[in-house]
Amino acid sequence: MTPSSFEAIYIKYYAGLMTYGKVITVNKQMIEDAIQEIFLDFWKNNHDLDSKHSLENYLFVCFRNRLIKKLNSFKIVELKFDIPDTKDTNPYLALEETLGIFINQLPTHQKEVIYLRYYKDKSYQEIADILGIKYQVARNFSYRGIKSLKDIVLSYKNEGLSKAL
Amino acid sequence: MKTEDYSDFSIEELIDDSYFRCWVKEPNLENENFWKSYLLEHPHQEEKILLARNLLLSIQDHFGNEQNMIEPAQAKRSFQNIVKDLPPNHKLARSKRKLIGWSVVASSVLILVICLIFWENITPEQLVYTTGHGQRMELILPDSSTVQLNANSKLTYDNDSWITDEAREVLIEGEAFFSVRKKQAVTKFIVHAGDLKISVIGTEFNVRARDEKAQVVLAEGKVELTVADQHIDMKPGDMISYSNKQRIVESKKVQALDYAAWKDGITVFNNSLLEVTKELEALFGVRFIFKDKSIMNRHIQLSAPTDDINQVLEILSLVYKDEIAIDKVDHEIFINIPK
Repeated sequence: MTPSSFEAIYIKYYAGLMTYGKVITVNKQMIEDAIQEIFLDFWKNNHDLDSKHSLENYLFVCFRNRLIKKLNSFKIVELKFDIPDTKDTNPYLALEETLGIFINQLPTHQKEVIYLRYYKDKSYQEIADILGIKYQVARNFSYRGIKSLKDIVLSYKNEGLSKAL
Repeated sequence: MKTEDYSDFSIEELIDDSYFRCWVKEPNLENENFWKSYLLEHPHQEEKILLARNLLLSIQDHFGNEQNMIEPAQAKRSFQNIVKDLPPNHKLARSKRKLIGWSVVASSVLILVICLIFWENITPEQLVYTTGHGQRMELILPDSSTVQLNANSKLTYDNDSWITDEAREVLIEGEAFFSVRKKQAVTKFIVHAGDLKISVIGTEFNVRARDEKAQVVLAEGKVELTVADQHIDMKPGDMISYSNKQRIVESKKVQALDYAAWKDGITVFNNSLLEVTKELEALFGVRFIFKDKSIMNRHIQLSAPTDDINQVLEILSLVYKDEIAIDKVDHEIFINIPK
């Protein structure tokens, strides 16, 4: 791996790793650290990233493991909003933005699977490999996450709130 | 042509179907035809299909917005950090020429990506960029001026006239920091913000236009302001604000850096509690409710991270813990005096 291809890979995948990291934690510094650390390790161990069959998946696995290890070793209080009751959800928010809030509220595993499946278009086998879970478990997470989101959209519709938007 | 029958599909199964997702994300002639005729032949399934489609688009927007907030420059800065830590004999050799090449490539990619994303939302010549609550974005305009958009803001411009060099004009709703490049052929750069018209040649300034109030703070260079038929020449450190309702122009000397700090991740609040909460509402889409109105006018001086409402609230309640009690219920935030 040449220095220039190392840099190119870093810059190419940085935004994707950052976005994936934000799915897992709100602690941006820790995401940044995890990205830098895994790349430093690749370089020091002379890892040949160029030859990896699916580089993105490989980076996701390494990055996720590192990030979770860091999060576990560091006790942080993550402030999160409670799940808003759909009945008095702020009517000024458009449905899409509201959905963003609800995506953030999903359990981390479901959120990760939704990100990987519906944004990154990964197969369930790839998702299972990245998260280190079974194929069927990945499918279940996806189903449950989508179901929660669907229920929110439906309850919006039924209460006619979307008309006011 | 596909002939599958989707009548037994639930929304969850539909959104997971790769052929369906392909249509929503990358429509082409073939799948567009298929789904259009499918909708015609199965009108009772329309609601289900459109719901699954909206859901998928919302998910895509949500993560897409997150990813677009990350500028190529940020990746480069991050990479510079690890170059420092690499073992000495491994230092990466880089020529200056290459660096310039990279930034050109990166910025063209950024512009291209942004253009593609917003392609569908625009009338032929209008380009519109928007940020959601809690989001920021950096844009590079055709003349390589840069604009940093704060949360809940919108920038619009007419692409054709920029390309033909007739005028450099943009419309801002919300808040933005402009860093305008001086052009050889002196076409003025004009920003419309509410009733303010800001003309500049090459300069840096912060603009905010929300709730029928517009405000400009000049950081560097010169600005010519037109408001309510008055022309004002601004100097660095000047703040001009205008309220559409009261029709009053106010001029003040301020710390210009404080008004632009948000773009570097820190928002500086220096205002009454009421004004501060209004600003937070606009930035994060939350709602404040005062249980005790007597503290509305308490002057607040605070620096807090730009992107995280939780941290802002945490710092606010720490600094003013003897005077202000903050209680979050769902995403309504109640303000009271401590018992």
